[in-house]
Amino acid sequence: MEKHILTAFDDELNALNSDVFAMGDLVAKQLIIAVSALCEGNQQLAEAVHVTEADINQLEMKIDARCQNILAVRQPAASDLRFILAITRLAHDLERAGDEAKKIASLAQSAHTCFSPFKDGRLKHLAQDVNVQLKRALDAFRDVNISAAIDVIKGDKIVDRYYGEGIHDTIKMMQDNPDHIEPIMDKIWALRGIERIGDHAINIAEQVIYLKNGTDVRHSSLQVLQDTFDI
Amino acid sequence: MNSAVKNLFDQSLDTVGSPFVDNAKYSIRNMQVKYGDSVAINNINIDIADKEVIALIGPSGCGKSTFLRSLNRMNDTIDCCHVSGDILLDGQDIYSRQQDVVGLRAKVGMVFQKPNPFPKSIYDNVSYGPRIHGLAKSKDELDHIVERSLTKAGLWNEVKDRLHSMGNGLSGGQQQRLCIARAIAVSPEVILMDEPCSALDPIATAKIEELIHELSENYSIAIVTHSMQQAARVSSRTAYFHLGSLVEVNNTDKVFTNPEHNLTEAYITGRFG
Repeated sequence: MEKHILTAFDDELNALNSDVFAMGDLVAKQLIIAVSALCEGNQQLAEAVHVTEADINQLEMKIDARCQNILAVRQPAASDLRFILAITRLAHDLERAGDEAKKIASLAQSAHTCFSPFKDGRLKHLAQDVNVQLKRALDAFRDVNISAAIDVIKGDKIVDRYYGEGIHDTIKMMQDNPDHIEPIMDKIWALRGIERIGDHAINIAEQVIYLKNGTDVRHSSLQVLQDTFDI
Repeated sequence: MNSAVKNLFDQSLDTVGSPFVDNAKYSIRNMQVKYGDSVAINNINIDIADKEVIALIGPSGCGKSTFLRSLNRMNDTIDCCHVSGDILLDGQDIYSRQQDVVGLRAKVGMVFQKPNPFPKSIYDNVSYGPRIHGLAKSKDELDHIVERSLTKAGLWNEVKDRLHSMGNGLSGGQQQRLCIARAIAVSPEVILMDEPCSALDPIATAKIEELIHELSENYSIAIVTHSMQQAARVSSRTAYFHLGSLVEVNNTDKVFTNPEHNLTEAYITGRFG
């Protein structure tokens, strides 16, 4: 896209971009660290997640303030307006994803030492998949690439399937270990938290489509998206 | 000019969007306006609907004022100006030999950038048009037209006790509303506005915009404005002109959130002037 006549406006938009991608990087790392903390029972990692969570919250507020200022001062229209709206939604989704990572880290801090249901590698595998989804969604946003965004949305099926298998295994684990329901429930909460971060990645991918052509595809099925965009 | 902007300029400038409507007040087809050998606007095809507000936007020199002034033959006063194509008002060609130009301008009023009240009283400013067009049979009827016009223009309460004071003694915003009252007084069907708020402060501008909103219930209004926000606030459709071509006509909401043509996008987002 051509630069604005007002170079300061471009500077403000670039600063917003930098902040949201910095936030995305932090959240993606938080997910991996939080799951490692839980699976390995590492309290220091769990504590680090809590510290970084504050940085993520600060970034969300900083992005909101920048967007508020741009709306008031620049009165953006068309693609600029869509960019600002999309950025506010991204920041919100990333903050919520950060919250999920923090909750997983909190499970590590209260983990039971006598029985660990986290050794099977499921959580780490799912977290890696979701981490990749999140990064691909952010890349699609940076490149304003609808095809890449739809690939991310398609990828959620794999995440959901793996999540479903994880829940199924965990329920079986409960049946096999009725004396350890509480730590096994923690695994369910962790699986659910990771899967929700995957949902936030989908929300980010949907904003790519809104940014590119103004279509609000939130709450649309994958089939509708594929039919609409012929992908 | 850098290459990206040049590419925009080199694109085909066929009008995109929805230039035509079912309830057209004006139907304009293949309109061209030339000043001598110089083409100011070319191949303009658009309808202006009955009782709609349409905003005409575009960079300076794009032809939007030329277009507006052609709608009530204001360009007739310029010797070298030549208008061609079909410009139909209620199906009648306003450039036909049979057209009564004075009658046309009564039917299609105009408000200019700078308030231009006659150097007469407030009352005379408003009553002048009805008087010369013979719209009032008595003094009482004329008084009624003056009061009704000033009321519609949102000025009556501010001037009713000083109707015989000079019109140019009012504030800028009041003068502009006086000019609107003057235009309304001859019962027009269309009001053309050429940057009516560019000389006004935000309060006076807000009053004019509110007035435009109220007047749109009874009149078709075409407004040229350089304020994107004003176009977005007051109009239901927006037409974007560029270098004498009509690039896009669409619902205002669409133009300002997701325009179809990237020249429109570049203009409203401030990517070229």
